[in-house]
Amino acid sequence: MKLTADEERMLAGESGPGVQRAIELLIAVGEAYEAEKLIDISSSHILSPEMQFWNTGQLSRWSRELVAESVEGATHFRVPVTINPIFLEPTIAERLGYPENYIEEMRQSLAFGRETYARLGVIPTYTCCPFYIHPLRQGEHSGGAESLVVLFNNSVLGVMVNRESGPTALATALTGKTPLYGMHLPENRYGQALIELKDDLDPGAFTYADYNALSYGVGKMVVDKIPVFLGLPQNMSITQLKYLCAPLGVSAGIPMFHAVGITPEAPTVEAALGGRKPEMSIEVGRKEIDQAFEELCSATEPKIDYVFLGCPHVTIPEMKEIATLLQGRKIKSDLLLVVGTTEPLRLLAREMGLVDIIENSGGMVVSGMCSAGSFLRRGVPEGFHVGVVATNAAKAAHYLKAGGVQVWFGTMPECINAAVTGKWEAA
Amino acid sequence: MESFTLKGRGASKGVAEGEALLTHDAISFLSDISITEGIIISPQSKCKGQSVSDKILIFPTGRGSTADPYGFYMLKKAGKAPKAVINVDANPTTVAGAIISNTPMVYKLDKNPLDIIETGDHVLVDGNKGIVIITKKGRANNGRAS
Repeated sequence: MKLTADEERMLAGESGPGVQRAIELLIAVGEAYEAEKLIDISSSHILSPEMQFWNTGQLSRWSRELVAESVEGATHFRVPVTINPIFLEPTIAERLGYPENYIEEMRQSLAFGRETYARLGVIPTYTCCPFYIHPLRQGEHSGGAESLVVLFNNSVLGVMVNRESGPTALATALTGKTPLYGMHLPENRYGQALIELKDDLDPGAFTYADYNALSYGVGKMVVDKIPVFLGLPQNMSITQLKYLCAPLGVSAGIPMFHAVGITPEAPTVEAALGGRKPEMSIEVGRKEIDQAFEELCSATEPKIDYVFLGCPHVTIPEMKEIATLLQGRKIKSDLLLVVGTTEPLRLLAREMGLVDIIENSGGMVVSGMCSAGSFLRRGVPEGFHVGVVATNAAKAAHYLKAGGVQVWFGTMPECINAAVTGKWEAA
Repeated sequence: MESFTLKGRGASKGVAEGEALLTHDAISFLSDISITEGIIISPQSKCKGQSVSDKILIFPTGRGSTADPYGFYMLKKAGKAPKAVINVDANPTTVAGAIISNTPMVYKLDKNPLDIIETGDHVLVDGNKGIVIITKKGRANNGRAS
């Protein structure tokens, strides 16, 4: 691979062993993709093994060792860097009655992460939606991981970014570089699978759950082909779009989709396909959406223990919808209702009085936590389980189901009703 | 002494030799292998129940995404990692995993390693030069006996 003088210096170890290992990693990964060179990026989004996947026990200590090795000698991130949420907020672990020593270990692992990344100058977003805080423009090259960030950046904003792995994402932040392959090359960004909506669907009336189900179902059908959605409302909101993005990240391996009339590179279906014929065409109707709803539910018991909204993190309009649904109602006393968002939005929602409404009804608004990952089996202490969960997020439902948790997937009003009555009505 | 060399591309530096374990399945280090025990756990694999520890692990390509390299690293920390990895095509998550765990890895060889190497063969992997030296099982002993 051809390297610039700057890259040669990093490779020679002039910026310390962490940066040296980072650029070695990017070169090796680039070679596996036949990349001819590294390119400069304008930003990156990282995730942290010790704050997400393994926040207790031996695996957490090893995760911290890995991070310490990876950043050894590094003084700063080379570009603006945002960061993914942690998996479980200790305050929630307390409410669930996790053992004290377990929570203390969690706190230590989280403190290590917060200090390490702060020292390097991270923008402490702790969100899967960094575009709420540090949005990028069409044509910018970015680095990083987290499928939702990648899907949203490529598909909604026209940013050019690949789905990288956790260690590679950190390497892009430390070097300000990424290999030139995949989504950084315009010819790889065209759509491959045409998605048409049947007449029995009215996308103008779609709930957030409907968008989740559409995305999840289409992901299973396209697997690794970039879909081109036809017939979606041109006035889709950011809230609706994040729900169209997120489930594709778990039901398919793709970094991008086109929504004709919405995606910057897809003013027309021809532009989305790059003038080529689609490799597959799929019609999605009520039946396919209903099937996705069914697949996302694994619960059999109607009694609900835990309700959460905010995968991906809720927007202010969503926070308002939740507050409106909860106004004057009390959630069942032995049940947790958690609304997940990022800290700046939580502060704004508090100022707007929305957080008070949710808290007065017995709910919690938590920032910086990933509800999809909170109850993966490896993150739950021996002998504990969260019980039956209700959510309107397909990505979270997918992970919870895979982790053996009983989950109900439905609309936001259904989830709020479940929080109030303690029961899943449709069960 | 019958040993022969395949030439390819080094993904992760270092030299290691040992006994081959070959599988025709794509491998995710996080979900197909127990990261604390080094045992293949994917139910559909013919190698289910076998240990990858201290083996030269040969498989077509990796699968998995964001967190997969961490699985490789954990396996190494647990002392249960393979000594080296040989792939037909490299999935970048495997490359990243091999590098962060200081495990030699070679891919894109001039002959398909899945056709040539068998489980039990003695294999040397040189990640610096991108080469693999194979000594077929049984023949190494015959060589010494004669």
